[in-house]
Amino acid sequence: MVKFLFILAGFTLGIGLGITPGIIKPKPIWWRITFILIMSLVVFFSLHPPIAGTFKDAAIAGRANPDALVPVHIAPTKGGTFDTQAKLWNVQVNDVQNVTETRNTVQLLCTENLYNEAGSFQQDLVVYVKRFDNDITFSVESVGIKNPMFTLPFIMGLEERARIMFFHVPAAWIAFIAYVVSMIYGIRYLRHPLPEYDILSSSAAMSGTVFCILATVTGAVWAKFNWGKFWNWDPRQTSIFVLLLVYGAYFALRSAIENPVKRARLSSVYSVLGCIAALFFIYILPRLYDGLHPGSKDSGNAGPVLSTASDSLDTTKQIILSLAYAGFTILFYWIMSLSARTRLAFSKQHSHP
Amino acid sequence: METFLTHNALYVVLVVTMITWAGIAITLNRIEQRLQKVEKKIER
Repeated sequence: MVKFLFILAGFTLGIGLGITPGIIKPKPIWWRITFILIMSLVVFFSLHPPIAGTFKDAAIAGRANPDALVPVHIAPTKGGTFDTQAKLWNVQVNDVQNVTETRNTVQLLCTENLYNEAGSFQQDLVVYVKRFDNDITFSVESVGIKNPMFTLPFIMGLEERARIMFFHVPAAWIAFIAYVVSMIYGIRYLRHPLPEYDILSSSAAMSGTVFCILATVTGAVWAKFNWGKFWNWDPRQTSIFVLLLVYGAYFALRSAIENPVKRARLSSVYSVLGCIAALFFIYILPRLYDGLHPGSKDSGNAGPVLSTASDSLDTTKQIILSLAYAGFTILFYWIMSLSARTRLAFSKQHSHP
Repeated sequence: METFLTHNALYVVLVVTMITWAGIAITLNRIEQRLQKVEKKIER
């Protein structure tokens, strides 16, 4: 439930600010500064917090692959003891996640250099550990960020690549919102055939297609390093490809008709059909078949973004994602506004030479 | 600073992305300003 409130808050802020003071009105300086600030926060918080898991993550990853290096966030300790025979520092660390059901402390083995670099483990820090023989002993391989503001969870198999969620997912959602906006102005044109509604409808479709291409390209680059190939013909990849063809046909249709009234009327009808196709291709079809994307039929749930399970998405990630929804929505409205106002200025200049 | 960035590759990515975003933000802002000038000219 909280998850949906965060999503709602992100889009309310995005749409609210996006349509202020009016899509075809000049954007005041406070508006531009607010947007740039929101988007800067999105970029900063998407990439700044280190990824850090628990010793449980390190134990599980180590069992699967003995060489697995896992970042773990540890609280300050009272320091360690030096084992003169092994020439290693031995540090007892409290593990809030309980690696085993019976013990809540783990033992870290650390070289002299790393022990000093970690400030004798008397500060909050992220360390990269490797499972050592059993689930409660780990060797420290390197020292990461000290005193992190906050951390993002470690997800086995995704690790740093999990950050794509803050750019790729909002881009795909905003593409859909753009197609809905295009449909709304398409319907408004059909009810009251004013040229500015046609300009707004096609500007929204153009901006939506930009975000759709961004979602496709970012997904393909990510897929190469997570799934092995740029393009896997996963149901969601196939459906977004078809969606790009649908809107490619929309722009082909617009450029093929010279009569502006006929062009506006036909493309308004097309924008309604295109939006229904987008709904089907983004939200319905990829969930009906087995696939690589989270939320596919074989995933067993709706994926981290929409699943109602409380542990499906970390709260910190949810907040950053909602901020990204807001930032990307405002960005879409600004691009759409610039495009529509340029075309309106151009048409005004030609009608009043 | 240099040592910190050498040991934390992610922050190099952060710096590069922030610079890219700053460039996009400046460009968008300039287009908006120029468009506002054109709109004022047409209104007159």
